[in-house]
Amino acid sequence: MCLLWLTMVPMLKIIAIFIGVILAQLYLAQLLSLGDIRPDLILIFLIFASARYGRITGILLGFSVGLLQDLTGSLSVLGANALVKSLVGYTVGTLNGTMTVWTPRIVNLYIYGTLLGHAIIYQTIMIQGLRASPGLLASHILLEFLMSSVIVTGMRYLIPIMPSRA
Amino acid sequence: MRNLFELLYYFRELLLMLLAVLVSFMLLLTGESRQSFALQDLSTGMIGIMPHPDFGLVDIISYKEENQVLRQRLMQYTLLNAELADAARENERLRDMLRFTEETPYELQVAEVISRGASSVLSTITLNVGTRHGVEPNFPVLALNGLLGKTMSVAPNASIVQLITDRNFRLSVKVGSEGVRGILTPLYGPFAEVTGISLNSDVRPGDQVLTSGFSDIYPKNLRVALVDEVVVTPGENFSRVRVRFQAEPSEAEHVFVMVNHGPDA
Repeated sequence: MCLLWLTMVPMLKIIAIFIGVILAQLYLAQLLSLGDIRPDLILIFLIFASARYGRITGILLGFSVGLLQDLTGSLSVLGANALVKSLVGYTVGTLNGTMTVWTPRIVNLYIYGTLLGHAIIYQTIMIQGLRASPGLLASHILLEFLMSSVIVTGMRYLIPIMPSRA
Repeated sequence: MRNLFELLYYFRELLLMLLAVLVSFMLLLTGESRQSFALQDLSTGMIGIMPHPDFGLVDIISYKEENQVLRQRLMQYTLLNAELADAARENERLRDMLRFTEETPYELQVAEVISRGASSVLSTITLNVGTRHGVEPNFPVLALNGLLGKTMSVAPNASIVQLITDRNFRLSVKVGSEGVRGILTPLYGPFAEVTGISLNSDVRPGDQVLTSGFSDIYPKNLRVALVDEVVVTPGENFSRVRVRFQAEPSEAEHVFVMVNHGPDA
């Protein structure tokens, strides 16, 4: 019984954080918005969770949270968040097995590259079918990337993205 | 057989990712299906149950500014009201003369915006009213400045509103003093395009865009947008009218749901 409880504690912790992040995204993200773009706190949570728990958890978590995000929005782009978040989960989950091989600089490049990739794919899907200029698309990609990068950088000072090597 | 299982196990992460991508693409292609709406109703119900925080400090700051704007509006509306009262009397007399039946007045349900969705791009808002307050899907939602959208998914205590800025939103409108009919299609951000406006129509920047009434959802003469630009392309029979929405979805705190508007109401 005690062993079962011990194995459940990390899972309960993730679920508690997950619910907190969803609530923060629903009710707080608007306060931090710049123009039409709001910070994607769920993406930040996914990056930390995938890096810690690996690809499989990353993909499953990414797909679930992405689908949840899609369901709170307009159904005209149902699946857009699920798609990009699954890709992010897989990509960042790779870090889980490479922490003894990659240097911190490569890890940084990898994470910020993933954030940029997320911004490019998601904003491109969102703009499909709307007559928007390439300049507007570029500005939205840049804005989303900058917002996510700033939050990830700030969070990494508080929480290490991966357990220490020692 | 064992080799196959070993191979599948070896590539399990890649296969799982491909499966997730495949399902996501299927969702993107099927989009607004009945199953999707059922799933969304479930998530709307969950949002309705969740407690939502009350940002006191932010409210005080925004209420102060809002109070000033509302006072100015009150003065404007008081002046306008005198004119309207006069026009209403005249209208009543003319209606009696033409034996028009009196129109059913609209019933408005005040609602608070409790969330703006979980995506990084704004496409919906969530209200704190639902079926318990008489709200049903496809009810028009208004802000002080004009039409904001329509209810899409409704739970007992919450409802999701499809915003007028959503890519799948289409609206029959009339433009300018002549009331030229056209179809409004959203562009990116606060802009939209009205198509089907012939070149010889008198449409100018600053003209009002109102609902035409050719719809079971929206009554006529609801304010929608203002004409921003009229683009005439040589060789085309129709001009492209770019309009700017009057209601600002990202700033709306309180909105009105029209709960009694249709022909059956």
